[in-house]
This record gives sequence, structure tokens and C-alpha cells, in this order.
Amino acid sequence: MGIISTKNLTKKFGDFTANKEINLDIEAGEIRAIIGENGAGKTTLMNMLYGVLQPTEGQIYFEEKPVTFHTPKDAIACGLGMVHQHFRLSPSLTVYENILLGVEEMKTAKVGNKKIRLPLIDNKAEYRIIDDLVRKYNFNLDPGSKIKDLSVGARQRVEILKMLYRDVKVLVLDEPTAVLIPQEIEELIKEILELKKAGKTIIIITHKLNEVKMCADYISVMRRGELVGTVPNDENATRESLAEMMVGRPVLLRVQKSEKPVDRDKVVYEVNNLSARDGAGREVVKNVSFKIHANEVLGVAGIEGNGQSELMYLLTGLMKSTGGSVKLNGEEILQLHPDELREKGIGIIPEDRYKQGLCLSLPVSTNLITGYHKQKRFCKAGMMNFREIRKNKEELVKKYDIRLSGTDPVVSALSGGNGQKVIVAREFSNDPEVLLASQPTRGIDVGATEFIHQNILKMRDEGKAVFLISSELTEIKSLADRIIVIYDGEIVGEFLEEEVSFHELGLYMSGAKRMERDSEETVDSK
Amino acid sequence: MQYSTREKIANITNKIIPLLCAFAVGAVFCLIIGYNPFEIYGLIIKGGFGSFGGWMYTLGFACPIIMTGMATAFSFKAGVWNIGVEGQLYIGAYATALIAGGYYGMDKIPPALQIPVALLGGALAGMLYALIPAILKAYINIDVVVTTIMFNYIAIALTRFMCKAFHQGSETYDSTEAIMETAVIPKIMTRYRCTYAIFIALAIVVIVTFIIYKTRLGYEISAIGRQFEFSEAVGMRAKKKIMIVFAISGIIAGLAGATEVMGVNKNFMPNFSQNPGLGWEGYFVAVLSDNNPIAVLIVAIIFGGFRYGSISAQSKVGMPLDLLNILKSTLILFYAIRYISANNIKFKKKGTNWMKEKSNA
Repeated sequence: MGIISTKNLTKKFGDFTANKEINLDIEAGEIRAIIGENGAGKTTLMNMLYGVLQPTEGQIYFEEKPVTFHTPKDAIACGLGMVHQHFRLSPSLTVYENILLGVEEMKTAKVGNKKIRLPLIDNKAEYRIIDDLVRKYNFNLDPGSKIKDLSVGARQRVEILKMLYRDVKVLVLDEPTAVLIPQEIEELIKEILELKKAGKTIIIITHKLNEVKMCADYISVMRRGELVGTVPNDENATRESLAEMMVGRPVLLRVQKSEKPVDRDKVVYEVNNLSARDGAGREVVKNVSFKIHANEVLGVAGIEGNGQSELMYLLTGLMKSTGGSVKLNGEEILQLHPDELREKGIGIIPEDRYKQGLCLSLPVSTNLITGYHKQKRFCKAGMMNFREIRKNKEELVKKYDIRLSGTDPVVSALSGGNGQKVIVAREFSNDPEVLLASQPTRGIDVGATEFIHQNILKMRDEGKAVFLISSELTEIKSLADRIIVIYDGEIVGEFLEEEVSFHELGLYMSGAKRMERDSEETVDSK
Repeated sequence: MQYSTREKIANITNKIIPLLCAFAVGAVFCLIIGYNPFEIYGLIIKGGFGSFGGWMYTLGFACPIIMTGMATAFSFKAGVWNIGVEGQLYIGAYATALIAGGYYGMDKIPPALQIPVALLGGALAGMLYALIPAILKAYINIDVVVTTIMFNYIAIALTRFMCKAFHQGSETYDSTEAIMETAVIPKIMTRYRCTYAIFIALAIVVIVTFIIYKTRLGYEISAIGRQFEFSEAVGMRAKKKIMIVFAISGIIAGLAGATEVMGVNKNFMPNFSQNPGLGWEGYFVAVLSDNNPIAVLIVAIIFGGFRYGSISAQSKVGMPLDLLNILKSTLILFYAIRYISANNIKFKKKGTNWMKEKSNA
């Protein structure tokens, strides 16, 4: 038995089995990746190991002794630490203050031969301790800088150090690469290998296959709450075979782009010098300009929080602009309401599907018409035609392969992937001229992602213009014809997809590089 | 909308337990003041529902509560917390008393038009009063819960002031002058409280049910009430719709006041709404019926029956009327607790039942 193992670990929520008889065995000093689609039960498993959840049945063994963790504190005391996807750091404190929060070094005074702890924090000693720690693991970090001045990758390092300081033997990283740019991912992998050398055991939970291939020793695959297998990371474990294990059937990891060229003569959607301020008066979108042609997908790359959400709000009529224009086929459509935009032929896939895209407590049938419910088909003289609405549901459910439990369940009963398919079905079935999509595949399974990607490309081939915001660079690279990079509310670069590498995009996304860009002189006019 | 068997069981259980608890607390008070609770409850139910006359009184008491209940439930359905139905009722009632009292040359118009015009006046007054908090919300984003509650007291104080200052309806108490005989909504049977206004109340139930379940407005309202951000994002112009909701809610509340003045009291008295107030009773009813219009109708009739039953129990054995308020308020209190959720119910065939599951946890 290895350093950490589980025997028949099962977790049930009511009738729902989130984890079923998981038998995991991880050797000391190993890098283990646990992969699976969203909802496969990875996080439930880790939460049980970390003491957040208590197993319904089964036993956890740590260093061959049976253990029960009631809280994460127990787990850390035993030597198991976890770094969450969402960091828990105080932005106004320094790195060392964050790491030592709760276990501060106190100044001591000597009285005779007794040492007395004073109620004063010894900042110098704290800095020294953390500096030693940083050196020991060869991290690139200044212990004295404040969290708010650090990049996302550096913040993650602080989170890892927090656990290392508490001397954990096993470190669990939950979706560690979700928020990182390519360069930071490379650095993270270097650090992970460094930690392995120092004798730590590392468990990485993720659904991204590339990074797994780069560092893991063994890969465990989960599907629908069960551990379907553990394979060594060798040449037999290809991305395709792993994806197949995750989904249970062969999948296309990269959709095939068609040969159909972009129609450079026809500008469908045009944004000029669009700007906006947030509630605090900060300029969040600065002079954004771009054009989308017929038969074209324009991808917006950028680290989250660089103005993408606000840009989407502006384009979908949910935020007031301070200047600029948005034109659809030459007609000004800036600041129209969302219902008017839809009437003009703009399909919208909003960023937050559960807040803006779907009404959770309404049934699928009515969710499939919202935004288009004023159409004569569904509504005559102010009265809803529910028979037509049900018919529409039957058609779309079949056409878009939405899987329902029961005839017309409320949307909250659907999985993330099926929920997103409801939005996609609603927007695509109304045959829009332009599609504005933000994070269309976030948090949904590989199968549904494949389906949505195919539909977006189909739409492109039909002569439509697609605007795609995504924090997944692979998604942008595989769908877009042209890529613009947004940094701090500004467009800092514009490329044709085939002419730019991940590495290059990463430089622009992090703000390290920028292109002087004239709104008149874009890539296509060169 | 579909409900699973479990959800149905949970729903019904969550309504019956508070009722039993409320009756149990009421029973304790009965015992304290020396009555047999079973006798008292028997008298109340028999008084309210045990005879034709009882029913006619019950419907008479239920009539305004049905309307205030609908006014509240309709706004709650849209997620608009109009707790100002009491105030809108007062303004509607006062305006009706002026119009039906023959002011503004109303005595000159044909008698056949007097009732509709007076009703319309009450409805409009209620609507306008409801629009004040709606406008404050839409333009300067003031929370409607705060404003509507405060506007209740303004309405009550304002109408009382008007009665004291400008009207001499009676020597012994403050009120407006009696309304014109031709503007009185007649009783269905002269012996009993129930007037033809009950049909107005029933019509409101039908119309509101229709609006909620069949029209686009109703569809949009239910989306706004469930998820405001969603309804804005798909372009329902939720802010505008909230004004409409307030207007309709105010119209119904105004009508409730108008029918009370024109049918029952025949003048406006500042305390006509009685303790705890018809608007508040409507609020209770809306909460207890989960804003479902048909349930509002049923619960309002039960409330009306309790009211008349308590009055008859008071006259027979001297039971204090306050017991009724104890029952109602404890009912609300117990109703606020969710006793079981659908997830906790397990059927035997699937192993443990939910009680066991709970004790294990």
C-alpha cells in the first residue's frame, strides 16, 4: 500500500451516488493525475480525502493507517494539503503574511532565563522563514511583495507554499492550470517536478489532457462517479485514448475546420472605438475595435478579468457604453436592448449560463423560447401558445440531442452540458446573422463540447459571423479564423489563427508584448 | 410543471405540520384562559362552515381578503415585494368614499353609472398610490419593502387626518359622510354580510389566474420573479414590467377597499380594516398559498370562515377574538420552517426511511 489509498470509498447525496467504491492507491513520491469530465466525481473524491466531506462508506488509509478526517485541519495535520482552484489569499497582505496567517511568528523577550512571547509579530523572522522556503523549492517569488501585485501564476505558488510550510507530504492541486497562461503552465510543471524531487507526493485533478501528459507518472480516469482505470503515463496513453476512457466512446478532440474561406469583402459585424466604465468609474473597456466577416470566427483570447465580461455586456445591451459604435451590416445597433438585438438577428450565448442564459426553475420548453417568446409563433395578442411551445421543445430536443429526464423537467435538473445545449438550441434555431458567444463550453463535458464546436463551425460555414470569447486557448485556436488578444480592457494584438503560436499568444495575454494597432490597418487589409 | 411524488408529499406535509402546530399553540392559550380547546375549535369551524348562513357570512368576510391576497400574490409572483397592499386599500377605500359620497358632482351622473365609476375611482387611486414606490424603485433604486411598508402608515394617517379635519360623518366616531344609496353594492341576501362584491373578487381570481398562466405578461412575470438577472439578459425589460406589476397589484388592492366601503360599511372609517388589517390578512394568505391564485381563494375563504366562526364563538361562550390572531400569527411562524425537503423522503423499498437517515446523520 502506498502513502495514500482508499478502499471502497463511496459517497452518496440522497439517492445520487457521486463516488462509487473508489479504490485508489498512490505511492509516495508519485505524481498522480486524476482526470474525468465535469461531474465525474473528481472533486467529491478529493473533498473526502481532504476532510471536507465524510464518506458514506469505505475507508481512507494514510501511510497504511486508517484515518478519518473531520475537517481539512485534520488532513493538514496528518500531512495532506490541497490547493483549490479559487485561491484563498488576502490581496492587501504580503506573500509571507499570507503564508503565515494563523501561525504567525511572535517576538520573544528574555526575562531572566525565561522566554516570553510578546503580542507582536516578528516580520523579519517571518520574511526569513519564507525566503528560505522559496529557495529550498526553487520557486520564483519575492516573499515581500503584496498579493494584489502578483500574477495569477505567482498567487498559485503562494498557495502551494502555504501547504509546504505546513509540511504536507501529499499535495492535491485542484484544476491548477485553469487560470494560467501557457508560460505559467510550463513554470508550474517545472515546480511540480521540483517538488517531486523533494520527495512530495502530488495529486493533480484536471480535465486537461496536455498538462497531464507532460508531468504525471500515473493517470487515473474517473467517469460517472467510478474509477474506470489507472494507466501509466507512457506512449500507450495517448490523448485520444484517455479522452475515450473519460467519455466512454471515441471523441474528436479537435474539430475539423472546413476549407471554406473567409468572405473578406463582406463585413457583417463591426465595432469601433467601444469604451465603457464600471460602477467605480474605472475604464474597463478601452477603445475596442474589430470587424467580423461572413464565414468567419473571431476569437478573443485573454486571461479572465481583462474586460471580456464587460465587452460581452456591452455588445449584448446589458451595460452602458461611454462611446463608440457597433454596426450590424452597416446599421447602428449599439445599446439596443437584448430583445431588440435578437430581433435583428444576433444570437447570444452569455458567459454565465445559470444566471443569464437559463431560468433554472422554469421548464426546458419555456427556456427554449425565452428571448424569442414575442414571435408570432409562440405569442399572439399577448397570449402564449403553449402547444406550439411544447412542439418547439420536441423538435429542438431531438435536433440538438438534449437529454432530459422526464418530458419537460426544470432546467436545474439538467447537467451543465445539457443546459448549455438548451441555450445553443435556442439561439441556433433562430438562425442568427451573428453569434456572440462567451465561454460556450466552460465546465461541460467533452461530448457536449465537441457538439457545440461542430455547431459553431457549421454556422460559420453557412456564412454567419461568430464572435467567440473563451479563456481556453485551445478552444480559440481550434475554432477561430482570426484571434484578437484583450489585456486590461484593450485589444493588444491581432493575428490570423495559423500565424500565431500558443507561446506568442501567452506573451500578449500576460501584457508582456503588445502590437501597435490602427483600427484601419487590421490583419485582413494587409 | 411537473412534481415528483416525493415533492408532492413534502409539499403537503410542509403545509399540514404548521397547521397542527398552530392549533396546538392555540389550544394551550385556550386552556390557560379556561376553555376546552376542542369545544372552541368545534364552535369556530361549525360557526364558519356549518350552515348556509355561516357560509354567507364567511364569504362576506373572505371577499376583501381574496382581493388583498390576490394583490399580494400577484406582485410576489413577480418577485416584487409589495407589502403596501394595506395602504393601497386605504387610499382606494377613501377615494371611493368621496366619489360614492356624491362629491365632485357624482350625484349628478345616472345612478346606473355610479357603482362602476366609484369602483373605477377606487381602483385608480390604489394604482396611483402603488406607483409611487414603483417609481422610487425604478429611478432611484429604493428598496420597495421599505417604501411600501412606510407608505402603509402614511396612507392610514393621511386618511384619518382627512376624516378628522374635513368630514363629519358621525357624531361619535371619525368617518366620511355615508355614501349615496344608489352607489351601494347590494347584499345578496339582506340578512347576511356577503354582497355582490364576491363576484368581483371571483372575477379577479379568474383574471389573475389567466394573466399568470396564459399570457406573455404572466410568463415574463414568472421569469422575472424567479431570476431577475436572467429576465434582464434575455430582454424582458424587467424594470418596466415591475411598474406594470405594481399597477395591477394596486388596482386590485384599491378595488378591495372600494368594495368594503360600498358594500359593507357605506362610509369610510379610519379603522375599517380592523386588526390586523385586511392588507395584512392578504399578505398572510399569499404567503400560506405560495402565491398560487386558486390556493389564495381557498385560504382566504378559510380565513373568512375562521373570522366569522370566532365571532360566533365569542357570542356563544365568550371566547376572546384575539385567539384568532394567535392562531394566524403562529401559523405564519410555523409555516416559515421547512420541515422536510423532497430529498429527505425515501420510500421503504429503497431501504432506510428518512427518519432513520436523519438520526444517523
